[in-house]
Amino acid sequence: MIEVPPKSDLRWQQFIKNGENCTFSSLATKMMYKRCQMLLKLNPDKPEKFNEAVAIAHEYFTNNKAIAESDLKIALAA
Amino acid sequence: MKKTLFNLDEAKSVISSGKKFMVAGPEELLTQLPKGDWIGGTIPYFMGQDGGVKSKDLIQITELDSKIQDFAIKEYSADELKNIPKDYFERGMSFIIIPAFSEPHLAYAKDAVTFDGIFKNPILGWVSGFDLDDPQGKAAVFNGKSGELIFDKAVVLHCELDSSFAANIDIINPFISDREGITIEFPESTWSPSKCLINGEEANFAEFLQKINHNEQLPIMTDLGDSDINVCIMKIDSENNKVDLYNPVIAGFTYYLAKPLKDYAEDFRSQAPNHEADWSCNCVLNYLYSGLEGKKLNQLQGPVTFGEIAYLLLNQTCVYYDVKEVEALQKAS
Repeated sequence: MIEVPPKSDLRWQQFIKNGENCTFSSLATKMMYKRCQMLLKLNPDKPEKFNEAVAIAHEYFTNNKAIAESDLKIALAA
Repeated sequence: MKKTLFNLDEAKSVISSGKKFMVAGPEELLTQLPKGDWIGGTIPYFMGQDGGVKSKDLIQITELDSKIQDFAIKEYSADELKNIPKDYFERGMSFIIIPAFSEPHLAYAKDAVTFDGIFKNPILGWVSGFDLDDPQGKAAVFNGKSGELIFDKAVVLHCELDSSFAANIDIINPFISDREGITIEFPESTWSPSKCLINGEEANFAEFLQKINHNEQLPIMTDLGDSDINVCIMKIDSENNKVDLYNPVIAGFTYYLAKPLKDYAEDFRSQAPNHEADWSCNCVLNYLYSGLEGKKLNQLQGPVTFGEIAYLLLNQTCVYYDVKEVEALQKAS
């Protein structure tokens, strides 16, 4: 089973930047990523929101690893 | 198929068994049920064991999964909805019911995507409603623990799950947005938009829909990555130059027209799972436009609703969930 890397792992940043090209299987993953996109879109002048988006993704995959493991693999390869 | 529709006497007996339930039915019947570990909402339309039915004499009761170890029932006003994720169990899921056209309904539609921790655990549920033939109809929810009928709050059943199980939510949405076509934006979040921007140009939404001869069975849609959220049309009010919707449009989102379906009922049915989900709900518009009265939607049963909730507020969809063994989910992925 794939482990959820720590928030400091650079792959999370890549995921937030490039995740819109990913095709996720879980409805929850799609919605979670939409939230991250909205957070950045609505706060273009607040760089700290990028870390908040990383934290949202990390929390989601940590708590939903069982239903979103295939999406986690896709996210970490984004 | 398991039996989910009961008359009042049967329903009282089922509730008295002391298990945990999601309940749906007419207000007059819900108020006669015994207190217990259940939450409920008003509606006279159901997908039952024999197919779709409208009835003022039946109550739908779905027993929640036996893997639920602990639970808590809480109520939330519109201002308190953001606290829902704070009340999640560490491992679990939550069921929510919101009265249609109430303040919490608008607030959840507008703000749920911004609630801290909303995606930490699965949350699903429905928007309660009323008989569409009753112009005085009013939606309510019910806290079975306190025995209270509620018109202005959402009620949530938070559940803790056995650690070897996980809940997975999915939806049926046969609609696809025409993203190559017209863009629609709204200056304010509202149930009844009049002003809008069509391809960036100011316009009246009702006039626009009439001008393109829009089929009211088709929603407008906002994108969600590679899937979409529907916003459904109740009525084009040409007299007042506005459009009444079943769920609000949100300022800042871009909407598109839905592409026409080849066959509403068949396109919908072809996406339905072929197993008996642990719980499901289906939009009243699908019930009407698919002609589901007296017909089954594969093996899905549950209330017919004024809105569906799968993390966020949806419409013109069917939402369902299953509790599965973590080990099986890991093997599948």
